Amino acid sequence: MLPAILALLRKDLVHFRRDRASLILTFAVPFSLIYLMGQVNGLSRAHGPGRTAAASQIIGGWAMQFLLFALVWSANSLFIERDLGIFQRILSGPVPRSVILWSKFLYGIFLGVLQLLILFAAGQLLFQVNLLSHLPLLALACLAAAAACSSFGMLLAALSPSVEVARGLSTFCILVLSALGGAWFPIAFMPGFMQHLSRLTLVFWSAEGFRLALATPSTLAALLPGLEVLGGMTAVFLAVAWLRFERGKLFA
Amino acid sequence: MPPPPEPPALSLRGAAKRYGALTALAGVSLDIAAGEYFGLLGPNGAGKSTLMSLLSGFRAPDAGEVLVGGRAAAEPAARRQLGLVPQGLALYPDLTARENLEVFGGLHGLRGRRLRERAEELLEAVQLSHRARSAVKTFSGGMMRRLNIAAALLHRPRVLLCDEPTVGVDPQSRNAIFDLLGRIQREGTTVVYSTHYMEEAARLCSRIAIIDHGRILALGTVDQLMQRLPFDEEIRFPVSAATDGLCRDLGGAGELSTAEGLHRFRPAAGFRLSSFFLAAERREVPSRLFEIQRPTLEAVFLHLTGKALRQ
Repeated sequence: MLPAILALLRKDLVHFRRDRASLILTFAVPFSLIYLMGQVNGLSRAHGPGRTAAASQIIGGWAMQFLLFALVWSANSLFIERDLGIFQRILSGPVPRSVILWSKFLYGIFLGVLQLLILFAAGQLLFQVNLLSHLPLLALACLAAAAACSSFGMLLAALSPSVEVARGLSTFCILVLSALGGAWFPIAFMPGFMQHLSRLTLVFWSAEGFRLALATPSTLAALLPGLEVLGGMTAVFLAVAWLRFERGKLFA
Repeated sequence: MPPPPEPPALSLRGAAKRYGALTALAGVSLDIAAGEYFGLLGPNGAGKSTLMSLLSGFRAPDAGEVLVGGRAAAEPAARRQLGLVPQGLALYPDLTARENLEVFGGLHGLRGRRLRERAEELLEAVQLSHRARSAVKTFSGGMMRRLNIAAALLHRPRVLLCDEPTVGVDPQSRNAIFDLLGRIQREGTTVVYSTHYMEEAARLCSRIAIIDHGRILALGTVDQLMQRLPFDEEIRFPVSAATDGLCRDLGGAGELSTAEGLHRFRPAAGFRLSSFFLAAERREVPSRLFEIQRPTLEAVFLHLTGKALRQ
């Protein structure tokens, strides 16, 4: 099963490398927005420990939103591959349906970690905030966030009956999750009940992970509870997506 | 003690499939021998693609069983013996021809040098070596169809399932596909070829099943299928005001059907051709309008279903 997963993963990576639109949407657009939001919020003029927290909020929040878009679009490509007859070809071979799920999931993790780290590195360059000295913990937080976003994309694709429904549903969910999870502004600005709701979103726990990874001092112990929540969300999303893959209409 | 007989390459036993209220396959039973070039002939919507999807293990039958070399089609060991050429162009348009073959070869566990060599060999076989590094989206329809077949052959399957592999291709590519499939079959691969082109089925296949509404209506060699017809020849003449009267006069003398601007008259047993031409002369229909032909598979289909194959 592993060679089959790697063959499909390699295909997605080659495709991504060649697709200029994906490259622009994954890196250039969020980079521009992070720069803009940093300027609006006076990040380059800020001083003291609050500066790192603000950078984490702006870079992490906007990066998460675009990561969700990138990974949900990637998951939606499942419908295109199905309609091309590619699933029929793949599944006439000696591989289970789940190779398609796992290959897309791993691709999402790879893309997500790459996108988040590049955007944090860009943030360091733009705003002279020392982010990459926290690299091991930051990478761990990025990995957990990317896994949760990737599995969320798989879940939406597995639940949607068609690519049109998947696109509409995913845009709605991403915007709600981003707003509620604190991607656009700190959740401290929200009413109390919304702050509680925020804790149900993967965006909140991802942003929390970035904040704790970039805090001084930052420790794995402080990061672990958030990673566990993201890990739990990933497991639940993937389990439901896997069940739908086995029984749903994606392969009908 | 003689060795046990080899199981058929493919077997269906009462295989049925429904999609909601639609019966796509209604209890089909069929054996296809190893090395056979077997044709599935029927109009669009007859159940050919459903049958292919059951044979390939992509879908499970609602009833009955599907065996590949004696094993259930859903088993990985059975699927390793199969190569599927889907009706759609199941290729990644943004990848090159070689990259496509490497992806699909990887799904069958091929790797490294073995995979690269096999991909090159197949690109050569389908005459695409010179475009190996071009994105598939830049290919003509015929080139894509050829690559679609190559992608099914990477793991040297014992059974090749071709679901309408020549739809929309130019005659040159079509002939290249026929040559390739013929060569593969001569090397011992069982080829199952579904089509709604009777000329293709008659030209390529040693045995043909005529299928419609999810049922096999007839099965045999072209000659055996022709023997099901109660007539030896078919007279074709154009639809016109002049021939309408002749058609009325022929009532009861045989089977008469009309499709694509042509009347087709198939005389009943004992009906003399001279009687036909006498009737034509009475109606003053010139004899140059008539064309007498040996009946084709289409006539068999028409005889069995009462409708033309392309309707």
